[in-house]
Amino acid sequence: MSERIKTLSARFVAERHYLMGFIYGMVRDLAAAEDILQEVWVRLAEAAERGESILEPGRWCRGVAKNLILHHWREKRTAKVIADSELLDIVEKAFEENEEPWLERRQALMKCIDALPGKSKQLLRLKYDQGLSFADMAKRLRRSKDGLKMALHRVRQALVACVEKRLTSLEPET
Amino acid sequence: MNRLDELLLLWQDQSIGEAELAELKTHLADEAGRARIAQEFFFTGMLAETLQAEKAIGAASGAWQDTTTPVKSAPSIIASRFLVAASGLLLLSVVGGVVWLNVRMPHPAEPSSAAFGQFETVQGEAYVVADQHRLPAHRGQVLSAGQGIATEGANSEAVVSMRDSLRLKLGGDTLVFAESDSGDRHEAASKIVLRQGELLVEATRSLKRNRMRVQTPLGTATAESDEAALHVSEAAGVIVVRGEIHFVHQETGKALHLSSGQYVATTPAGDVYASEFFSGNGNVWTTFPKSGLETTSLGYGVAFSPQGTLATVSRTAEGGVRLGTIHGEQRGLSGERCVQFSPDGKTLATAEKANIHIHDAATLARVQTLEGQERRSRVQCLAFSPDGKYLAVGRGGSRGAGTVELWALSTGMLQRSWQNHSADVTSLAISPNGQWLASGSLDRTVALRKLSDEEMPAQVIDAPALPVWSLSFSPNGKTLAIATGPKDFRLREAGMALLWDMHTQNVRQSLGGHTRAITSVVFSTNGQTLITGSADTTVRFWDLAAGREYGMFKGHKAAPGFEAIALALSPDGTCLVTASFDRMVKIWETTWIRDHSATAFLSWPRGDVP
Repeated sequence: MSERIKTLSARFVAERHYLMGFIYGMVRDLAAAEDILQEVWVRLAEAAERGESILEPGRWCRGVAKNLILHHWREKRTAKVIADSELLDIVEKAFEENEEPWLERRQALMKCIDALPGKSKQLLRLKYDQGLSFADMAKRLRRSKDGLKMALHRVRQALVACVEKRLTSLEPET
Repeated sequence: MNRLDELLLLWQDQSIGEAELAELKTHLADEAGRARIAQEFFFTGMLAETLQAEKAIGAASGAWQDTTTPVKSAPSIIASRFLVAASGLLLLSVVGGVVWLNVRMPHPAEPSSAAFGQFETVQGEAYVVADQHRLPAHRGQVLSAGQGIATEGANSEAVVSMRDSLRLKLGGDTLVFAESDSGDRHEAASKIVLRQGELLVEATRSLKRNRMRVQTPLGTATAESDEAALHVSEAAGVIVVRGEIHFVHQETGKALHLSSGQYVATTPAGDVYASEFFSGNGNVWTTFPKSGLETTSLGYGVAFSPQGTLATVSRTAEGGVRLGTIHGEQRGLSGERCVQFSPDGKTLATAEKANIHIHDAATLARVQTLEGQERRSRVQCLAFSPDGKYLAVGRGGSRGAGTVELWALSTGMLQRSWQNHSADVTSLAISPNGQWLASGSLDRTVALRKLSDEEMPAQVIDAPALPVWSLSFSPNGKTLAIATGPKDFRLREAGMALLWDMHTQNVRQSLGGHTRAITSVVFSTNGQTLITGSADTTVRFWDLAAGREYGMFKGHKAAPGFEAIALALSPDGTCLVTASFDRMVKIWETTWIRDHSATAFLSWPRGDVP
């Protein structure tokens, strides 16, 4: 493996959560998002092998991911997946405008999830691990869809607040 | 919960309606809204990954249990794969060393009573395989029944003499097991089981009752003659080198009798039949310097001018384009990926990144440069219109969809441009009457455009189930051949050649037999034979009337998956050129092309043999 590919590889692994957020947010299917993420990596490695100049790897990867997302949507047309290329462009722009401190956030999030009560964790698992719709979650948990939406929103808000609190506590005092 | 949060939840839930989607987009018109969605998506992605990672770690310790339902078996994330792989490696390195010491491996100094074979020669890396363990093999080492022989590396080889007068010659990256044909290790003949790679099995003397038996992934071959030799490989299947073979197909149980020079061909429906293996060496026309880039994409192109001038191109900057007659001197030119002659042979088009250079084919002087508008959109393929007035250009790049352009050569202006593909355009073909332009893409579609009707939208053919690598119109323009295969040539996934009927707008025939991607496809000049080159290292010949593969040859040295054969047939149909990742360009006799009118093979004009 050349030094260039090693450097790109290290950077990709380190920054992949940010890219994953972009991909998963658009395709909303974890398995498909992982496939796309891996394909982006393969293409990045190929481009590096070809000696292509990649000045902004993050941007480059989002561009490739965008095409792959479009392709994924095209393949899933029959599955009635809601797709919108205009929204895809907007979200790409949003990610370009907002670089997050990804690594610290992820570490903080893992700790915050650990601290959640069992029922809150269950909601998160059903939604983000098993990928159930609110309708399916409502059937399984015998609760209303709106109630579940609100409950999930509150769990997420609690997590956001927890992450922010942890990050603030990590900041050096001035 | 504010309205934006609500809309984002609906999007996430895939239950958003059109009006709500439009509303969501209005919320994202300002920077604050976009910051919110970036944060939301980033957070959701992290959440999903974190939960998956937690589950993967929890599953190992039994901690993760969902009490509401059985957990869906979604693929684990890369992080968890790394974690599991790293843990596995650590365990192997700690435990494996201890186990290794307790595995009784044969040693030349203490031959086992159950000795089944012995290494004659070892070149490169070869191993004896027992259970999950490997011991480096060397000359004279004894092999027991049930043990395997493995070679690692494309250039490795091992020759093993078996007790019952069989000799096994293993090629690179091969794994073979030698088993006893019955419970009695001392009396029974060897049963050779090929798991992967390339193997030559030959009988060194008459085997009489205990005849050679070789089990391959395709089926079982048993010698019917006293002396026999069999070549078995992933690329070409089972080829009889010498003697007579009884072959039983594993899937269907169908039995075949194969004679020397025949191989087992398969149809996509699973039928098997005997076809002819064409042996012989092509003449090396040129070789390109090693680039280190021969991995997973097409890198070579070949083209003939009507006058018989041959042009080839490699991916390497050093190699570039080589040009010359099949007998004469060769000249060099910069260029990459693709090369095409105009129909009158006076002009040569080459590609360089996003630009196309037009050269005088006689002097090689550059007469025109067609500059790509987007620097990163590389030229992937070229095709001249039959009147030579237009050049079609297929592009792909790291950003944006695959594009097809039509340039007017008289003015050097871009006439038209289409974006019918969501991935790189890999191949182009223009029908002989100049009416249709076909483009194939990695997005698994072929787009057909009627050049005479600007208003007519492109017809997108989504019949290919795999990325499209090459296209070719039949000489009468009634059929379009589509070569397909997985994007990564290293994948063991069979490519297919589809024959698209331009009149009925349907796939008339699917031709399958290659074991990896089909990278190139051409029709014979009489239109009755289709020739395909593949990443499986073979070139195959298809009788279009019968819809079957009638022969193949293996002409290049690269390993399956590290090959991508480009093909071109000379205008008079008398020679076939192949180029591949072994960096060689070879010229072959075309005696293998069938001429149905004569119901015989065309004869090669001997005086012209290069």
